[in-house]
Amino acid sequence: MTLPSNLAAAAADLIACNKCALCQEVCPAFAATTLETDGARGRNQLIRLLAAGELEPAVHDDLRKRLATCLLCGACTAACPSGVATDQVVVAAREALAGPSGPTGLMGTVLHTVLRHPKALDKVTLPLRLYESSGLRSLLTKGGTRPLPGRIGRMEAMLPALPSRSFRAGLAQWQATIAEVADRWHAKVGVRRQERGVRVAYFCGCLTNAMFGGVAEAVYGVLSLNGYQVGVPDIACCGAAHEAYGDREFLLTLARRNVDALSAPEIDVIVTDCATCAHTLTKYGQLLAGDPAYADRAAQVAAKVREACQLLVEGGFVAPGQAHDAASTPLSVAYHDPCHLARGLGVREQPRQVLQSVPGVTLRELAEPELCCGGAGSFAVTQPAISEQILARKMDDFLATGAAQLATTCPACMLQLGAGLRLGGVAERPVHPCELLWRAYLADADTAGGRP
Amino acid sequence: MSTNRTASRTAGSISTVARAMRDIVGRRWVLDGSLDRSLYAYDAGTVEAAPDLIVLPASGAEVQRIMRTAHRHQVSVVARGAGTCLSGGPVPVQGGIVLALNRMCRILSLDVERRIAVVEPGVINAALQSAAARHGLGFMPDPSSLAISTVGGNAAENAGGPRAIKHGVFRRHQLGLEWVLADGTLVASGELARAGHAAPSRFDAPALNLAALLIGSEGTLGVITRLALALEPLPATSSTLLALFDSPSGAARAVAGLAGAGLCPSAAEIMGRLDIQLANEHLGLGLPAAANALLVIEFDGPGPALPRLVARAAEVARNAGALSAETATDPAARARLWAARRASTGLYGRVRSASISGDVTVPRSRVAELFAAVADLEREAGVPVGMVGHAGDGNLHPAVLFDPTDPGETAAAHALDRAIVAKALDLGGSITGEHGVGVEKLGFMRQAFSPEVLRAFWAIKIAFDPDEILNPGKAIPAVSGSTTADPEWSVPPVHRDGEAPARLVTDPVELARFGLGGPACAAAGLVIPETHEQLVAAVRALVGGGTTVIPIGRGTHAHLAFRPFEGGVAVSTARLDRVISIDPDDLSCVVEAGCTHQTLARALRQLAREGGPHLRYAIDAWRQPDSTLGGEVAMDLPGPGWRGRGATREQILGLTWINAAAEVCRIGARTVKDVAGYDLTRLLCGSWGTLGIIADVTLRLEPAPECEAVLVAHAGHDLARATECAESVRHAVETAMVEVVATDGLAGSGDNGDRDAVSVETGDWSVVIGLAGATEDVAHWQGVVSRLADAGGLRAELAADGPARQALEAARRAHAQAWVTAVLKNRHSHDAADAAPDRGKPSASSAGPFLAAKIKSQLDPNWLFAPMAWVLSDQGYRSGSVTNASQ
Repeated sequence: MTLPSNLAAAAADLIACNKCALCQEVCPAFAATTLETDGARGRNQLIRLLAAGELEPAVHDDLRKRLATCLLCGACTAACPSGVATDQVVVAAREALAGPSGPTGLMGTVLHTVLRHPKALDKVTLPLRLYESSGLRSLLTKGGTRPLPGRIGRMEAMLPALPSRSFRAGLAQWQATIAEVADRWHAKVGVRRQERGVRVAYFCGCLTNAMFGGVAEAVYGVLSLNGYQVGVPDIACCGAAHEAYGDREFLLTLARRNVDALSAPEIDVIVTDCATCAHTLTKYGQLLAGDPAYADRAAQVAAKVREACQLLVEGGFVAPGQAHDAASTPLSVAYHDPCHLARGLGVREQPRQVLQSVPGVTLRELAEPELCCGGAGSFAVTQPAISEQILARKMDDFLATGAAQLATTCPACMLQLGAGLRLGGVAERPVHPCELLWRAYLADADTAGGRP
Repeated sequence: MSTNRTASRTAGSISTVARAMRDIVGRRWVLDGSLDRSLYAYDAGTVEAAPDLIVLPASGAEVQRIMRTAHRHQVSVVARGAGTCLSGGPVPVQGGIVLALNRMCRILSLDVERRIAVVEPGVINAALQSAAARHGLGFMPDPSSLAISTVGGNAAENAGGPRAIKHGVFRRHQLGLEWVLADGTLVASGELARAGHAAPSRFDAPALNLAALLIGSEGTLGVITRLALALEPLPATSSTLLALFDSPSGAARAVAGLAGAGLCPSAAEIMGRLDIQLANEHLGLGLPAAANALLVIEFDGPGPALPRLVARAAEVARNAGALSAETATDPAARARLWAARRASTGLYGRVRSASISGDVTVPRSRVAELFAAVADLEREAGVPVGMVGHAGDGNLHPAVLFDPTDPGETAAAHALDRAIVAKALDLGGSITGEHGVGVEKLGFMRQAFSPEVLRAFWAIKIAFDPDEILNPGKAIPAVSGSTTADPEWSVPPVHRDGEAPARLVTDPVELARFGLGGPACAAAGLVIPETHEQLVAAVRALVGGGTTVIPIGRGTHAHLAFRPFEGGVAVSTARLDRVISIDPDDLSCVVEAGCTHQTLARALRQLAREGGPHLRYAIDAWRQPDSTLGGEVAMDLPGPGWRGRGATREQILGLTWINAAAEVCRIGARTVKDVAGYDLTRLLCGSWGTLGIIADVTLRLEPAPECEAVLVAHAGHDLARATECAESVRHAVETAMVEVVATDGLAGSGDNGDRDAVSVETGDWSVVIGLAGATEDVAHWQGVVSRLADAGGLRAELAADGPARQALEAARRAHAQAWVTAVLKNRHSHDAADAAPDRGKPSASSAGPFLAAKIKSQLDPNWLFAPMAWVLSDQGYRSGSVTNASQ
């Protein structure tokens, strides 16, 4: 096997690993099994052997399976005193093991067809929408009070309450609603209608579009009310899943498509509510640096990317609840930091600031807010045993805070945390901070009175 | 060669063994694929070697079956916890089985009342810490790896950590162990041996301290399957001082100065220039560039005295030339400081991609010299060296950093590392303070220990694991065919060189003065050597002639130590009574075995009069002033407080003894931490003269407390209430000495120590509570004691000078009496067990005595040393051991 250049670079990086095990201290998968094979240090060892050509091709499949227990949460990389980027090393090894044509089999099919474009995932979601809208779901789960048994039940529990159609499918109607809400809100709140002169491309990712229409609507609504000029471009999947599975070629294809879709000069900011999309988009510059046709534009695109709360805090937003004296309902909220946002982009404070701007909200910090939830995209499905143990740790942490509501900024985390809450008998689903902000704006708009 | 033997014995049978292992633990928990083998081939050190098989048991019973199978097939077994060892301890250098204990990770019980946790070996240290913290308790050993390392691994390495300076290393917190021997035999000790039998005693039963050997044995003596661990109340508050120096010698001076100022910090950590620089760069500490050494000094305690103690420590630091000395009270700042200290070793990867992690110990007074020597070596070799460590106990971690792809630098780095270890030995230190010998320090063992001591190590290894199944090639240096049959390792013949022994005393009156004579202790004679040479000569002559040797001091406890016997010659150390040296900077002294408390106390007072620091031997006040220190060591007299606090064994840094071959053996140094070799000091301590005769002892000293107070609570006729009050104070007040005494004794009405006799006469009881420490803390504890006494319906009153002395004296007698009662009770229960019809049936509690007898037989093949002091009826176990060994 010739050594792919990424793996060669990873191997050079690995020389600095002195096996001190500080990575195992923070590795959620290792904590779940305490098997050396499931920890960052163990993966480094195996990848070192792979790069050195000491592994028989016969064990490559075994190695691929073992590397699948890495969540790519990046906790090891953040903890490594020697600066070894184990998550990048794992990605490089997965690429090398997948080969130039990327993963094959079921996962290959999923990556190349379903996770290609938001619309593709939307189509696949159709039967699930019917399951929800027909009342079958409510019937089978007794209105959500009794989970289905076994593994299927776990996956079923991950499904949020699905709206009847995707965000994009309902966008035109939503724009009309916004316009109507905006009128009332401006009238009530007394904020002068203003344009901030910031043109925003809303990168509505596959998962948000198909399953969390409410989040997308809230983001769109919040930005619109605050005078941002929002457009929803036609985009491809960001490619995060493809990166995770070592499908580098397809990742680059998707990155080029998105750069084409987003490099119009009239776009000031690219905003997304998804931590993973945001993180992946910011890497486009680096990914396409070797492609002269794209390098510059990719770097420009990457530099414009903001997570929704990040944009609100940087660009400004109207704090809700100022215009009237109505008593706000108290709500205690715990915020879960998505790996890709906190460690990936260093965005930690902004979502908390948005949450705290909502009248009545008090923040109750988790003991381990940055511990991965165990969702990690498809990880919850492919590694159910480890995923469930990590989720249990997260849920224990949440319950110990005594908070009523769990918030986060990533739809993949929301799937996983939603399952945890549902199976744990907690009624409230996880929310995006923008959803709470949007609700507060609506309350402002609907409250009688207004500025004296 | 043992290496070849092991290789050949694993090759043929490994697939058979793998099948058998699958039957024991289930398919899923036996790993033998090439990937898994490479995953259990390393620890956090530099040595790698793959096992043939990885087995992950779920219970002690499975470990027993695994060991029986491995023993039958003669396959070596290496126990492994988290693999964070830095010396290659869990690396299977001879292949065989890695026994990964990670699945045995349950906290079996957590007794908040008695502050004892019983855990499986795979429990992660931090998990125990957080479980204990929910009850305001903590487990004191705190190695840097605590978030990931297992308690079993910590035990096998006798792990320390920053808190060790005040709270001691792992061995001090072990209250009982259960382990599996190489042949699958289960052995239990301490708390875990008495489960279901006798009520817990304040005192350890006298017996060879087998558990002490297991702690720090690096998996070469047994597989630990359960541990009973002492938990301590978490200190109410702590305060941290950060002092910067332009040279390490200034920092070292400050550390030495702390003791002189009577200060006992809970941590005193040092970082060198490179480490400060790295922490500045990568953790943004923002320390001044002029700083070449940094001290983190922490104090903990009940609170009131802390500000003053920290201020005084700052003054000490400034007097030693500190550039700055600031108190970090803000928890975030303290956390950052500690993060820097913890992470600094990891940051070495930013300088060079590889490092050799050092772990030497030097006497505290030589820390500056070691720093200087390392700086010189660093300059000569041109290889960077990181320097962090626990300055308070002289345990430093010089890390030689190098680029492994550069052969020249690699060679220079290894040479430099060896030079540092050699330097530490030169300075009177140890080759490893807490990381263990493993394979990385094996080459230094012959430099660090004499052949006699190395032979003793082997004798112990053979008693536990005659076939070298357990972690072969580790901890103690290998020798060709290291078995009992090998002439190189058997006890050499004694050479009689015609030298006349010291005068033999046979006069019954003289014998009686040493507790000998009469039908119970009918020694044939007594020798009282006056010099070390005479002592050696006397022993040589006696053992050479096959005469039984009865080591005694002044005979204070002869009646207790010996079963009725006839014949043999007693050797008394009574006239070897000098204080050899006192080293105030190292807080240690060396005394001859016959030195009494009085003599040592006098020497310490003299030192203070001459302007030296006020020091004391921690348990001075609790001993009969004229009993010998050597005798107390031999008997491991218990300390005054609860749970062996202040026990004699915790005070010993080193020993010199004469073994059964009349050879002089030395172990230990003026350092608190030393994990090289087996813990012979703790084996000899409490061996009651059965393994050799102690010639001199290195003891740790402590700054005399600033303030002392004695409280007395009268309980009238209510003994139960007095006992209850005493217990509650023992639990709540760490530093207290607490005894229930007959109120008669307080009036100074003579030697009325026997409680049972008194209770019949008067039935009047009091609780005596001694407090010591910083003035504010003593006041604080007084309040606590008063409240506890009130709660128990008693009134605790402060005793004035004269009555206080009398109260302490009464308490001392009561304490001694309680211990004597416990010893006799223990002996009776052994005798009863001995007479029982099912005697000899293997059980976890009977395996201990057999093992002890094997050790005795290894170290004293002819049972010449004090057989009458053997706690068990010797003949039975002795012959039992012989039968056992020949099977």
